[in-house]
Amino acid sequence: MLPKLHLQTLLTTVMLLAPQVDVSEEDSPKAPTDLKCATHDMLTFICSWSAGPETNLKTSYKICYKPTHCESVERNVSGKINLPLIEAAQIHITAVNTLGSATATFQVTKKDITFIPPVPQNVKVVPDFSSQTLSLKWTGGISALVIPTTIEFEIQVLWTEKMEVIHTESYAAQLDSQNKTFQWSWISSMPLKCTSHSVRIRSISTDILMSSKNSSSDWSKLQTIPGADDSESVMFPKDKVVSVGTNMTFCCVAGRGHRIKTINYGDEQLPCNEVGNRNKAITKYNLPPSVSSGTNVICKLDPVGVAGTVVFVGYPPDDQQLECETRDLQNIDCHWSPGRQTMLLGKHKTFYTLRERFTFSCPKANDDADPNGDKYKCSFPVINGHQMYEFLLKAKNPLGEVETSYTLNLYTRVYPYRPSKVVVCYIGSRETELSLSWGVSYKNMTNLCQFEIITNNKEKELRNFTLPGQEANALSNVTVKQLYPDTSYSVRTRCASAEHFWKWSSWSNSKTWKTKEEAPSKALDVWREIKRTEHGQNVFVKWKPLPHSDAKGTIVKYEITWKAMNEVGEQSAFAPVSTNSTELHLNFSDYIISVRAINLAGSSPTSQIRILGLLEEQVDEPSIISGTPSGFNLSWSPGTNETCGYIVDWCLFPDTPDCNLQWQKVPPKTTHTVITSDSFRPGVRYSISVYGCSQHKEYLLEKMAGYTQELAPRRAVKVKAEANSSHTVTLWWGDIPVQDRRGFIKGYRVYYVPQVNYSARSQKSVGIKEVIDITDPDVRNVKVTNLHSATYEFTVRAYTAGGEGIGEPININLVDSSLGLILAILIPLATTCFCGILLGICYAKRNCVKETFYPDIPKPEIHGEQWSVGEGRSCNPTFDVKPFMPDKVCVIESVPGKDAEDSDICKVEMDKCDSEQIDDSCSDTSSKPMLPSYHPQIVDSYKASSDSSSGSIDSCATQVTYSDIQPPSSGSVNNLEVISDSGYKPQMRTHVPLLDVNHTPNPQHLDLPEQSEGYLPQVKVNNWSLYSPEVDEATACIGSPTSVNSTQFLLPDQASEEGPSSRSSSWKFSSLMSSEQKR
Amino acid sequence: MTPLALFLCASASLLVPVASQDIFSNRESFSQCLALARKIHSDVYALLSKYKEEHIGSKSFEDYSLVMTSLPTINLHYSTWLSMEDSERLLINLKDLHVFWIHVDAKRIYELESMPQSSLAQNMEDVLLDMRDLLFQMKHQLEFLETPAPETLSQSVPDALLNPQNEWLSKLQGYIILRDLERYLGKVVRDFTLLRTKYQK
Repeated sequence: MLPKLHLQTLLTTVMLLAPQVDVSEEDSPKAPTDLKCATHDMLTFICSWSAGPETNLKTSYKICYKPTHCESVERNVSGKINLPLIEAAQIHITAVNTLGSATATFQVTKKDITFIPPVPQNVKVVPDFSSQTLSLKWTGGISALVIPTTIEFEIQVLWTEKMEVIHTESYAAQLDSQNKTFQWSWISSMPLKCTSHSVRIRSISTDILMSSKNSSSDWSKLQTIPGADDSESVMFPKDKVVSVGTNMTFCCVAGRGHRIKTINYGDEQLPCNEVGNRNKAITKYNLPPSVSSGTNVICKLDPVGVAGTVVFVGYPPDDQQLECETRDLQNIDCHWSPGRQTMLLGKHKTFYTLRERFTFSCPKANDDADPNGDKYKCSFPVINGHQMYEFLLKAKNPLGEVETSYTLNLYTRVYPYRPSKVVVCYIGSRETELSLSWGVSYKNMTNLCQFEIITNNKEKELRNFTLPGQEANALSNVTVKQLYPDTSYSVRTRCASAEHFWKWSSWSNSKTWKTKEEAPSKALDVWREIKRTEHGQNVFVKWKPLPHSDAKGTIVKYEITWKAMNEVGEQSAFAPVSTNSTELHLNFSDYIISVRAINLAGSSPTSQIRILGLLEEQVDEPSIISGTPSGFNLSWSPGTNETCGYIVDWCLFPDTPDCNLQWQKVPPKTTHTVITSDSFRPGVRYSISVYGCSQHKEYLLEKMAGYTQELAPRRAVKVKAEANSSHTVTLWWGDIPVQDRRGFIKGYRVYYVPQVNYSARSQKSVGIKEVIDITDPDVRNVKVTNLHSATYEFTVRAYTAGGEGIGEPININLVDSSLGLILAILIPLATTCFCGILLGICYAKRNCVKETFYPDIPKPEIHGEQWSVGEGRSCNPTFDVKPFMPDKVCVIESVPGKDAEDSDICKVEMDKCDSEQIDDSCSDTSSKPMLPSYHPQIVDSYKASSDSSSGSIDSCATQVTYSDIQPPSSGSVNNLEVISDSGYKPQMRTHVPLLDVNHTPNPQHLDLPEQSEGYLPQVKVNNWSLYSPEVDEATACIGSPTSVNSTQFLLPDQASEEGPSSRSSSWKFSSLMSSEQKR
Repeated sequence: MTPLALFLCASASLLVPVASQDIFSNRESFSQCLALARKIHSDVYALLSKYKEEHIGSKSFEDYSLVMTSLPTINLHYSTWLSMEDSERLLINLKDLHVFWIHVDAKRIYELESMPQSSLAQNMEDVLLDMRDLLFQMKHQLEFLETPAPETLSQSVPDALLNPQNEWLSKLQGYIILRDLERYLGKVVRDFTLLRTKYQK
């Protein structure tokens, strides 16, 4: 801001005024016009003016811009005036020639003066072809500028051949009185050798105060950097090393006589940019890592030829992970990892420099590369008394440099060698002393050593010991305790610094030894098996071998000692280690038998058992127990005298002579145990004995038997059979041997099935199989009854919880007796004869039968008094009987034997009519005289009774039914003819019981034929009353003629709904019924 | 194959220096060396193909305009070749193959510096061993022909080969060396064919 203010105060304002011209005569000079002024340095103004028309005379100009300062210039077009910095000035320019003069006066202000910055001077371009950089230097071109001013340099870079501007950049600066040098650089994306590059620069005034008349200078002269000559074909850049992912431009310059065809980056052909006539370039973006020999960029030429270059694309060095440690406190080993591969090899590979800060450097940091390629290392000697070290690793390649430091305290980074010697010094039964030594000295360090102890090649245990530092090859002793006698041990060790744990060493070699033996610590587990004979008792003394933990050595033999209770002396014998039992032949005295195991270090405590010679063990029936596939859960009643526990024994293989007696001792007060064994097999019966122990005497307490899993019997039941009669057979069978039962027998199943012969070829057909289940397993016979005369096959199968066993079939042939056969023929024959005789009698007495069961229907006799009708009842249509004129008869049969409950029966029988007849008879119900449509129906007695209307109890109770007057064979045509003649249709019912008088049927629920229309009473007149009371609809018997028990089907239940006509008829009948009832 | 070839050449050339057996010995030697030269020729052909593929980028790359002045010339007028003495023929081959040997060995070292595990370098070493055997054999053949073999052969390696201007030129150098060696070995095979035929008579 300050310079501007300063400038503002100093700048001269030039007012350009209209000239005041003095013209003396015709060839006299003209006054100058059109004055223009400019300045390059704010000190000197260059003004020019127009001279006017030329004259034949030489004209000179006299310029006066100060009252006291005038200059003469020869030239007639412009002049140079040195003006002081004023706000405004008057300039007088006088044109003078021999004929006269003419003066013009100009008023010049600062706005009228243009500031033209100078052309930059001393322009110099320096190329750096490797970095593709152009460096430009220049000066402002003004040796002394009175007023500092802001200026901008515009720099242009051109491809010279095409004069194409490829880069333009502005460079802001301030010009002042000191003509300082400016500097600018530019990195080209394309190698500078590809083509000639030129640079030019000019100045542009940017000062605000000068902005009114700002302008730029001329361009400086072109500064050209020539490209490669065209004597041969070449590519640029050459052997460039760049980072992965950068963009890069390659160019090809074709030599004379060649033309560029293609340019390939590796295998990829890229589009070319025209740089010059024989120059082309490609740009590859995001460069991938190159192969070890670099990536070729090849320019193919025409005619045949190639130019090429190689580019190496890789990574700068990676983090190095430097780590240093000492193994012997004499040298420090440093190693590092090269990290990510740089993909650069040969002269571009990474070079490492490792040095300790104050002392030394590693001369072979690059030569000691690990052959594996992933670890690099270097070793330094330790300086006496020096514990702290600081290492610095530098990794450098053409793409970058990485430094890693590592500070080391010598005793905190000790990675010791493994012990060079491990020696077993002393071997005891429970401890062993070992000695360790190293080939190097660790005297100033406490070692923490870890021992891996492997017991009998199985169990692994780690124990840590702290050992003081020792000189090289000096022994350090370690006592390993808590070992087991007679046990093989293998040990190896590794060590580290105890104070500053850094790393475990590798494992030492293994050392193996066996601890010494001790006397067995536990007494043997002893049991016995006694077999009494006539002469004494054979006692099988058995014991279980001691486990290794209790044997504490190798058992060499067993010592058995026995002594009769009533004798003083004792006897003894030895059993080899290979046996676990011995047999003693004793008399019936009581004995004490002792057994102990002996190894090289001594003998075990003595185990004793007592044999009571005269004690007979009570053999009770064993209780049945159930097992599981793995064994048995046992429980028993506590013994009364039990003081020292219980013993449970059983045979593991009961089927074999040596049953492999097993036993288990149960502590006192415990009355349950579980016995398990992998040798338990399903279907094997195990006998288990429980002994109580009282005062060291064992007595049999309980016996048990059971199966771990029951199976079906393995053997068939042997059956014998005997036919008691032609319908009865008795079967006997025997027991299945215990070993074949494979379970507890729960019962037997007797299967029998008749065998039928169908042909001469004796092809049998099996009838229905029947079974008798006998759930009592003790039953051994069964009597099978209700058999027929046939051959029967009987099979008896036993079954257990595991299933049913197999059976052996046995066949029995049952034959009928002759008496039975004769009776079977005669009885049906006699029955037939009796029926024939009965029918003959009935035929002979048919008139009597007819009179009895089928009397003629009497004609009604009407008596006046009795037939009188009550008031309001002028007539009784019921008795207004008109002769029917039936023109057709529909024969509808009932089906004897059919279930009366079948409600469709009517419809079924209707189907038997000719369709024409049915139509005539059933559809013409409205015509008069009307044939009452009457269909015989079979009504279930229960239904009939239950469906009767309550209002017709009395009428319904009238006991005239056709069941009494019609024979069962009511379907005959003769009967139908009778009905037809009298206009009456009988209601055939078979075996219809009499209605219960106390029962009130409900006629509304009756199944009635739809076409039932009316009815003509078929009872004797004297059974009827003419009295017809008022009808109580609620209580009226809607049924029709009760005498014939036809209420149900003569009056449809919808009669009351269909209309008055139908209802009127029912009214008539119901009135009658009511009157009858009242009477 | 190399130890076997060496054994064959040595056994054929170093046995019995009796005059009556010289002809027989030389004939056998020429036959064995012809076989060895053919083998080297075949190996160099394969090596050239592999080199072009790995370093130039194309097996089919060929540019006969590229030459190295330090390598022996291959062009020889037919009549000149036909009229050459046996010893002269062997001597020229000996000198020229030695020059090629130096060039190939320099290239092998350069290759190893760039890529320590380079299989090309290993192949070059195999070829160099065979060439050494062939040179050894040729020296003895010259002795049989009573022509003194040069005591010392040139050991100088061209500076341009040791310090190539750029990597591309180095690759081209390897190509030129192997290409010219392959062509030269063709001539060597023809020479040994001629010699063997000549001594069979």
